[in-house]
Amino acid sequence: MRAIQSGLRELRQYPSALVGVGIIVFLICLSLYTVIAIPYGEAITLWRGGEDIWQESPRNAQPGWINLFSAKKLPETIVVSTLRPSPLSPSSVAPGEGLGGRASKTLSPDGKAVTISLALDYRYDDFPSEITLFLEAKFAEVLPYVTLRWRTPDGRGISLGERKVKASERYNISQDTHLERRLGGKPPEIGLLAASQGEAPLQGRYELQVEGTLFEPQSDLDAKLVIYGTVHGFAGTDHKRRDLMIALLWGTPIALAFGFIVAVGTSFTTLIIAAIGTWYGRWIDAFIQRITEVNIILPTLPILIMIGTFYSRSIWVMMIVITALSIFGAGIKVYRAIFLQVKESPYIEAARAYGASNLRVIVRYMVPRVIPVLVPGFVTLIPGLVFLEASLAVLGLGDPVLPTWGKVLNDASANGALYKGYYYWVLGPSVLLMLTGLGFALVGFALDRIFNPRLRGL
Amino acid sequence: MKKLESQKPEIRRQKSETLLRVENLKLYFRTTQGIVQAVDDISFDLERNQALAILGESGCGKTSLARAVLRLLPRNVHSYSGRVRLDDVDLMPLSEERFRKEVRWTKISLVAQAAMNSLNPVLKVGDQVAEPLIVHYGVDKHNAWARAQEVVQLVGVPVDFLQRYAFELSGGMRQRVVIAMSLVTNPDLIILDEPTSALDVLTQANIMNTLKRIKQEFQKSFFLITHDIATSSEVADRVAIMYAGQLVELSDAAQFYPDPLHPYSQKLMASVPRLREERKLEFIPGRPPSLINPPSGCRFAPRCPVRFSQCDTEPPLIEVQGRRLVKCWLYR
Amino acid sequence: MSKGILLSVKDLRMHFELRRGAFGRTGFVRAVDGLSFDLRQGEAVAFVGESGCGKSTLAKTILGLYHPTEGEVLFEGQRLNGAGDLRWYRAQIGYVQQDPYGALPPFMSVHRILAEPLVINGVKQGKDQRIDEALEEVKLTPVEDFLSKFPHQLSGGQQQRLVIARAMILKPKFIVADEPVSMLDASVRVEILELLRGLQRSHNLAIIYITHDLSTVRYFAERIFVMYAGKIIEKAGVSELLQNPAHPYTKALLAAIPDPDPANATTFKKVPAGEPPSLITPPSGCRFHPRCPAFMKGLCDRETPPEFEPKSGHLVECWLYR
Repeated sequence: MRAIQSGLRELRQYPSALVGVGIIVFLICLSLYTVIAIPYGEAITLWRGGEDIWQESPRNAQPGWINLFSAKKLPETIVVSTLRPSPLSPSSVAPGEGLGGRASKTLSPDGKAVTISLALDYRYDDFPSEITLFLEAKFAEVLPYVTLRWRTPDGRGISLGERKVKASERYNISQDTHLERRLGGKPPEIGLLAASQGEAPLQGRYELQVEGTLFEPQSDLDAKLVIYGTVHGFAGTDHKRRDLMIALLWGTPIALAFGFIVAVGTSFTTLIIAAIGTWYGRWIDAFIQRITEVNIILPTLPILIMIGTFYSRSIWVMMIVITALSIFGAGIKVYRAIFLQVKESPYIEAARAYGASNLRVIVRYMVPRVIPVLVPGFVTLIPGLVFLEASLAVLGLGDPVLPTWGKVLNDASANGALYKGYYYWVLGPSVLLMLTGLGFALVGFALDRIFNPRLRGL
Repeated sequence: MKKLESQKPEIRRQKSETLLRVENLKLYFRTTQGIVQAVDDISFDLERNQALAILGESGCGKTSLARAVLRLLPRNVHSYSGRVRLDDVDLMPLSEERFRKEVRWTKISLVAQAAMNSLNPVLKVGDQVAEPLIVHYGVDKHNAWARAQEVVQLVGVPVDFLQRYAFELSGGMRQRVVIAMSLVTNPDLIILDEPTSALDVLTQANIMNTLKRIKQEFQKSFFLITHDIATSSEVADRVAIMYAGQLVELSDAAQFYPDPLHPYSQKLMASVPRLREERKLEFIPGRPPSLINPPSGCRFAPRCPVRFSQCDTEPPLIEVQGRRLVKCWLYR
Repeated sequence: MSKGILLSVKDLRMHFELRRGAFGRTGFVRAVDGLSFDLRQGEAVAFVGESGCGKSTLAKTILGLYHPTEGEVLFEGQRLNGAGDLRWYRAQIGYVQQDPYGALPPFMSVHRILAEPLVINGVKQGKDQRIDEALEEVKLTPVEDFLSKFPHQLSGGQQQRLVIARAMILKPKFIVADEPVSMLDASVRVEILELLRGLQRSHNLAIIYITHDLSTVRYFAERIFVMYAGKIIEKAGVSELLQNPAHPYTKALLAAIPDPDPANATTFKKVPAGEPPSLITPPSGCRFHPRCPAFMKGLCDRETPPEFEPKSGHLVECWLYR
């Protein structure tokens, strides 16, 4: 224990180790923040809740910070609504940018006219990715009827047609091929915002007028216009409109916990098994050595793939299998070499002479001698396990429930992210994985340098 | 020996009496705890065909002294200064390359501490003995082996052992092989660092006999580093006592063993158990000072039974009885 | 005869199997090959011999770390049979090793190191008091300064004192000291020998002092047993043995050990050449015969010499004294 303490103190002399410690601390803080800010249940809902939850997020949007590096300001999502924003809407949706005004006028005892004005101020240098209008109506029998009209800042009016409104109507303006034809073949999200000349969108105040005719006194009409941007949040979104930030954030505690638990499980078990084998020698040692040799040549990844394919992809199952496969790993050989030396130490002989039992010799006399050797190995083991978990997810064997870095990479590769230029989809998890690797490796290598000179003294 | 003699006859004769002269040699190491003053301002002369024993306890800097003379320095050297003259040639200005070629092993060779345990396990003993000849003189392998055979016989190793591997030899035989390696290039000076400390009594006596014979027959100079005072008396002509990085006494052996001068030397001699006389043994209380920030003044003073006020200042090496030097105010 | 006899060793043999691969043994190392001796209460006996003569194996067999191949060890008349519970015995015997730093677990504090034997042997009452006492006995004082230290913070001499304190902590009746001073500097060596001697006298301890260095023996032991190739070849009182060595090997050993004397440099020592024999295939007859200057052909190489007693109390296994 003393050796470990002084070793950790010595870490301060290695700037690289300090950087590593900084990275690890950052990752741990991020994990804690995540777990507190987005509780597990909420995270799972957000990740697996389906498109309804992500109605107001764009599909495959780039991360928001891209605007910092680009002279052209890319649009964020604009929501103009007469409805209350859904409680699950991410905060990045800024309803303040648009106004949803409404006026209603009674036409007859039964019917009334509702005019909804969805106005917004468009100040971006690029076109949005999509425009959708959500309409919600309350009625008993007769469906309300709306007329839609789009007004541009330069005073043009474009009719978006008329339609009956069901209880919950989704009008995907971008996919209205009639409209596209009327706009001269331009996709609506471009055509509606384009200036009469030039390539850039016309900036200024736009308005969507919804003129509704309601045929029942209790009828009501609400409208929400979503102009989907091309940037979203800090991490962008995926093909299911999910905010990648959820996966990046939650991936951190999952990856760290996975790496840490498996590293603890394997290194201590390996250490004890190596100690037992060395101490008792003879057939026990031979048995452990043979198992180790067989296990070392067993291909870990194919076994995991088989288990993932045929049995379960739960992260717990993977954890147990990986632990089981790495307990009898090369570590046994390394520790055995050290234990063989330690076993012959005079102090162990002395302990036997004053009557220490086998168990006591192993636990109190042999294992503590090797713990300083274990620490650097343990630290460098963690990133390897994090990578392994990510690799499994990339291969499609990730836990079906959890949002992890590997899952994001898997989605990205399945959706051809790199062909389509969605580099950020790969970038986020990759940077975090590399950061994890770097942090633990820097610390591990420094620890190795600190503890290894003492190995010679064994 | 004759064979090599004829190979380089011009450097054999016309040499000064003094073979090695060390002046103000200092070797400091840098460690995490501070600067270790392992060799602190040491001067001595070593004559041709003389054996100088450097005696001292563990950690007094005697091995560092040997390394400083041979310029075998570790990486963490803080400072290395002074003069080492061999045959009146100052070795300090020599480049590392020239030092390696012209001095190390060709003029000064080393039997390192525990060298018998560091023989190469995958090379035949003969190859290892012949190696310095091949490296330093470019002798072809056949002749090098022939010379190796001559040399191992001198040190009492049967010729057929050259075909064996180190692990097939006993400790005594391995130590003889290491001594043969140091002799094979016919150097003038051989540094022996604890040459017998890991060996049994009989083997030790045999090896000391061998060293004595080599010294007599081939006019070699020895620089013997040991903590074993009794064994040092087997070959030493002159004795130097080291304490805490410094030389505290330098005397002829004939005077030193019966009558050491420095209080430390006296105490040390009194702690050596005797087989042939009944004598009360003494020990020195306390422990030597750290070589990091050693005390000012006489370094032995804190443990010295006869210390007085002047011991707070560092004594010089004072010449006593002609050829004896003592670093103690008692002899001023 | 048995009065005052603490330890009795009878025809002890300790052979180690030599194995090659999985295919059975290829021979035996006869590390200890037929030793008999008695150790009296309060007596210090030195076992002297070169490396590989079996003296350390003997020590470990006596300590119960090895199960003897043959013969028996009796402690206070009780037989130590290999497999049984030796805990009663372990509390009676202390062990001082050669390398003090190696003998101390580097990760334990002084207090832990001394507490371990007490904990293991079920001593609960007055544990801390016993630890303090043991430290005082070896003069590691003031005790409080040492309790929380770790071995690497102690000097070589202090480490060896701690090893001795640990050997003494269970108040044993006898101590096995295997080369207790050979790794120490000359100036510390005497201190440790005096300490052990003092403890031996004040506690009436029996001590088995194992060494290769005859010159320290006279300061320590009453009797000397000289070992060669797994056997005790000579047993005598210290001054008798040093003045009148009987066995040619003992004589050679004495001749080989120098005193610090400038005259040594001018003379060659008369020592037999060669090395101690292999313990796997020891020479027939007397094991020293191939190196012996007094070798008698036809006798020494055929018959193993029995124990002769040329003088009372001086036993020697050599045909010269038949």
